[in-house]
Amino acid sequence: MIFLSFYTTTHSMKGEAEAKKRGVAVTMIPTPRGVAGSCSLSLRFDGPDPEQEGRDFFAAITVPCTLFRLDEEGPERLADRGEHP
Amino acid sequence: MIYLDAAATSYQKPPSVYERVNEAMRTLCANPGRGGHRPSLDAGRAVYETREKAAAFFGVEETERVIFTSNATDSLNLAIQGMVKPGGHIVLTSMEHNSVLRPVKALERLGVSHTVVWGDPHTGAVTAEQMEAVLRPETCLVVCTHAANTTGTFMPAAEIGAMCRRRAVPFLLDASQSAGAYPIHMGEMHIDLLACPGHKGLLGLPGTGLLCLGPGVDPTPLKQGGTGSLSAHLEQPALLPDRYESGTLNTVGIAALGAGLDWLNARGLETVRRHEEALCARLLAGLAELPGVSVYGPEKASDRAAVVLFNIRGMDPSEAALRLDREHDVCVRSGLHCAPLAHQTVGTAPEGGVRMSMGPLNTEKDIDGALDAVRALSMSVQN
Repeated sequence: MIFLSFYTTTHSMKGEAEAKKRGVAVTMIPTPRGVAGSCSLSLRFDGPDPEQEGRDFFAAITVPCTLFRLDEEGPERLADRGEHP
Repeated sequence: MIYLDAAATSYQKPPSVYERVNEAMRTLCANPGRGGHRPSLDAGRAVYETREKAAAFFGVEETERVIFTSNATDSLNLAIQGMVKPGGHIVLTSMEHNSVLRPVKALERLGVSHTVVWGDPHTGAVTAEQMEAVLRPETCLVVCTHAANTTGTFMPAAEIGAMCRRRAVPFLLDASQSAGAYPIHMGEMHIDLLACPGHKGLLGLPGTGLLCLGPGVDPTPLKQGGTGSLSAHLEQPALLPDRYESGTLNTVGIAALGAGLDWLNARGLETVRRHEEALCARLLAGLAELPGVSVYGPEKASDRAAVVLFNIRGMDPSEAALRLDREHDVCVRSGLHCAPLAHQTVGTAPEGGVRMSMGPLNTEKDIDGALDAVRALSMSVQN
């Protein structure tokens, strides 16, 4: 799973609105525990190439956020910007 | 009933606001930002949409710099208390509401001094030069109402903002009487902090307010608590708007405020302004013809928001307000309007005056009815 974690609900909503505007397929999900130490919301990328879509989207927005890959081995930070725990 | 107390709150709301309240009560009462379930997400989206609309409405560069509060008083307290430090100095005008005067007065105990710039005794207006003349090296905030809640007097907000920017002093504008009818742009007017209610000219519900912050403006929060973010940390999050929005938001009120902004955008601010100015001019012209009636503040409607202060010779303003309501079905506010220094400025203290204030849904018929009522009261004491 590829997802983008935000640190405020406002940025999560902003991210979702921006994804909708750009036609990027995402689902808002509670940020998986152990990833951000937070109870905030993340965007999961649901398209055919979620990692590339996630990287492209991360590069296109400006708010603090972190892009993760989560698999059986645990979370891997792919890119991050700004404040995070 | 003729409601002419829009300066206190807008009683009449557009039908779309009532509809949005009903819808929001049924669908948006989950807690925004406090869960990943769909009702919570819907509530969060509604809050975000209104935040975006407010940012666009007031020229706020970053959406997250729009802070939701409970009312303008809440916004002003956060702005004033959050921007000062012991030993600092505040400049304000005599036309301010107690929501400015009282927090400033209370800060004296923390060693924060202030200077009141007195408005013109006829119009109530101040100038940017007057404000600049009393700045001190330790001045940490200039506060000014955009339009006085008593006489409607417009202050030269853009000029004061430019002066503050040049002197590197933060500028707080209280737009309680102007937001929703007069154009306000944070950047163009050099406003660092903009406070306004959601329930007056913006046509939302009581219990809503806004504090908009300019780039880099960072008042100290007055409260700490749950934000739905960075929950493992005991320190208040630094990110906006969470830094200032602890606790559950008034989701229904905020959604309704969004509907109010939509209505204003659809109607057009210039249309609203012209309508209110025309009603104000009609009221001023009518009052000027009545015997024994004294009107205070600027003579021209274009120099004031749609707020008119007057007295009837020989009649206590509270009696006038009572009789207007009970005998003529006209709702107005009498007394000092929580602005004692403003009444001192224009010579109406300590009794105060009768205030009539108009909103976008008032009509010429309302004004004519109110004038008939004032004429009847005036005749009753003049004869």
